[in-house]
Amino acid sequence: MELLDLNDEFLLTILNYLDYGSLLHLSGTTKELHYLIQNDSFWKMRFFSHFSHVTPTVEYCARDRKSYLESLRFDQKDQLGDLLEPSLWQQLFYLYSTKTKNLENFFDFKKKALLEHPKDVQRYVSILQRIVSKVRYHFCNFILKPLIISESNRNFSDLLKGLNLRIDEEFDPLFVQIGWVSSIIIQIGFTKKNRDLQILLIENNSILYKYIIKNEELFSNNGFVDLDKEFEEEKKSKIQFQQYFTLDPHSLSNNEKNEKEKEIKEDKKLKKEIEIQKEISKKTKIEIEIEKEKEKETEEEEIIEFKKFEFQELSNTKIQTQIKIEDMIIKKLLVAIKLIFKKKELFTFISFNRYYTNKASIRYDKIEHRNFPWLKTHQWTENYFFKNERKAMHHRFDERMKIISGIELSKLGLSFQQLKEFNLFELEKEVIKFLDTTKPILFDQRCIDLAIENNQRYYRKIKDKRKQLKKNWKKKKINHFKIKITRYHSKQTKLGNDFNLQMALEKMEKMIQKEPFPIFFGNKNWKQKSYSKNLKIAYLRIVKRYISSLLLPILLKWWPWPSDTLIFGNDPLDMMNDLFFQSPKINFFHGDISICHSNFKIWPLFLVNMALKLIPLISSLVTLQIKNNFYKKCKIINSFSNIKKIDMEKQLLQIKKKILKYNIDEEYIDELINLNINSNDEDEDEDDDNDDDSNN
Amino acid sequence: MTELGKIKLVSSDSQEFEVDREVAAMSQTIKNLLEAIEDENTAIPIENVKGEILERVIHYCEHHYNHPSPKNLTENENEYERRTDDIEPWDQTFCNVEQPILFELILAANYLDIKPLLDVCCKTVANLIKECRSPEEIRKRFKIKNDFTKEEEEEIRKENAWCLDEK
Repeated sequence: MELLDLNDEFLLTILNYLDYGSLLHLSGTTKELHYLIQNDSFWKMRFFSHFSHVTPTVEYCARDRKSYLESLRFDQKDQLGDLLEPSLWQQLFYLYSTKTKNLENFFDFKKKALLEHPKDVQRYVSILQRIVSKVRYHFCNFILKPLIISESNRNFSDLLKGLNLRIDEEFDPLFVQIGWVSSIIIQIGFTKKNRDLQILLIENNSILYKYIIKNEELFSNNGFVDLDKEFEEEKKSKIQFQQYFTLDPHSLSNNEKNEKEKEIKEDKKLKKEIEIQKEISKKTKIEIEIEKEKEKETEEEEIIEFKKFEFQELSNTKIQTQIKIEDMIIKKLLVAIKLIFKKKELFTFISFNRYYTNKASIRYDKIEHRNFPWLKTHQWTENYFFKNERKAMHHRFDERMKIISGIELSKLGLSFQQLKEFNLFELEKEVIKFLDTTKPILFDQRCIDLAIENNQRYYRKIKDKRKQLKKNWKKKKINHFKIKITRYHSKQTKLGNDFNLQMALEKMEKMIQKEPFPIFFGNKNWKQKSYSKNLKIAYLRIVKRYISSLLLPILLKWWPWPSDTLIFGNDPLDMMNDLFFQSPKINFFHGDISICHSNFKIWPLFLVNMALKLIPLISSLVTLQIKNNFYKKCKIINSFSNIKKIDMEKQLLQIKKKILKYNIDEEYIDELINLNINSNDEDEDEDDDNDDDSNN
Repeated sequence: MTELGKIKLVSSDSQEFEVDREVAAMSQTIKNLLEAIEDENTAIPIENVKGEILERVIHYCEHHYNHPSPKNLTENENEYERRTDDIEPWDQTFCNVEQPILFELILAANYLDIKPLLDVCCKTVANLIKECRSPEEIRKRFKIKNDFTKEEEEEIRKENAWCLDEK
């Protein structure tokens, strides 16, 4: 037996242990291995196993590879850009995944290539820088940014954990990624276009945000900074953080008098900064022109000089500076991250503003309660939310935020009438547009009052409606539980709130466990449209939920790779449920390419597709079987008059046949159905009495 | 009759091996079979594995049953880069066999569902490949025939040149 006698499955397992160089050697041995290794799918799989957390985006890149490559490709004029062409995918992978040394080798190779074309040295160096920055940019934009945005309700530290960033080890192979994380903050977080991400960074990551704001110059200056200065800054920032977090939030009200003075000072500072920036931009334009002229003049001289110059030294220094930059960023980031972890529990209220507005009722479910210690001891109700929001606003203090008074807003052309119509969230957006600022805005009490008025009016409406509904319900003597469900549903349709639906479903599920089916099928209210629709939807979803748990083992059977490459997280069942509920946890990147769970657990596209194919079949099978069983046992004919006529056995057989096409054992299907039915039998027996009552 | 607590395994070439039940249960495949079989004296046929290979697999299982590894190999699954330098000395010696046997061991480990053995064997093969510094060396070591034309070979060499050490 020989190596090539092994089938692809084993070969791929072996290949997965190989480093990049060995893989390339191996690909040069035979056509078969060449095809296997140079195949995109192999690299995708390798990427899957190494970067399980970025799979969705890789999938995206692979799907839209053409445009992805095009966007990375350099101008045709750049002859050296052609070097990127042959195996760009691999190179990208290589850059993403390799250790520092390999990255250096990459530069070394490019450097060697340059020796053959000395004229292009300078251009080449710039191209190299562009390669790195472009790769980074794409990595940030396509991979990290969606992840961060999708994780808007989670802590930044969790995100880092999710990215497998090890904080202790400075020379971790993932250092490049740490650099990239900082790149996101620089490249994405601080641009106006990426306002969402910026807000996110502030909310989840206030310390890091502050730290970088403080060191903005250092970061934007490509890391060419004085180390001593940097360490001094770090010391200062540490002290400032400590001071910030030891502040008593209630004492902040004493500072209100000084707020106006601060505002004026800040305005002056801003103006100065803008002037300075303008001057700098003017200077840079002139400088660029001068440089261009100089370049033309000295081009020939440079070529001659270059021949004399020891290229090795030049390039070494370039590389060293590049490494220095990386090191700097890492060091900065490490300090920031360490601070985050230490003060994890303390960055809390700053994030409150996003949950403050009308949309608060939708959003508060997403707030991590651990970040709001005062919530732990109280029941989290709408009323409580209202009582405490003022307090919360006081806590929402951040020296980096722009404080704007209502009067100031009116000066800007926004009338109070307009303010009334806005909710705070919208208002904030408008003001940001108006002021052309990237800083988050803290509204003063007047604005807050307006917003609260809006909110209160909104809730008053809801309250009134509820009162009316309750009266109606009392008249109709409708089960309290069902009222709740309809309420959740009405909310859902109005506000698009999935959370409440989920809560309702969870409650319903509990109810079903107690009284499995009579509620839905045997109830006289079933015929009423308002209930039947909602309940039907809810019921179907719950059936799906059951099925999801049953479907999982089948899907696992279908997994084509060795079991150790399976990328399920700890709780695939939960993911499955999310998938069917399409809860906010699930994010469909770029349509329905693939799905990323909030805990960075990946649903491979393959499984999703399979699930989507199988679900309708199995769900109809199980539902039928349940109905069948139920019909036999419960003798409730009310809403089953139609079903009664159907020959269920035949239907079952038909569906079974369809499922069997997917290579699933018949026994397994039977077992699956029986399991499901048996689990409900006991409950059904217990609830027969209740059922009769409800029918009467 | 087999001894108490022992079972009989029969290889594809009808060789019989008596093994401790618990040792055999390191193979997930055999474990499942044992659960299904009521009569303990029934010999379990291992149809896809030759006697020579089965003997080695049993030897591996016996050793690891008596000397459980402190480090669980599967722990490394999530590691960023898959390591091949963490094979224990005993396993290294165990895998130091002729290539055909090594490949047979891979197939057997897969059939019998003994993941640690599969991992160790695959890692050993990976290490053998890693030791080679050129496609030619790999071809020699694994007796692979070159089916590229000279032009194709040159093209591939150029394509990969940016990463390979060509000093």
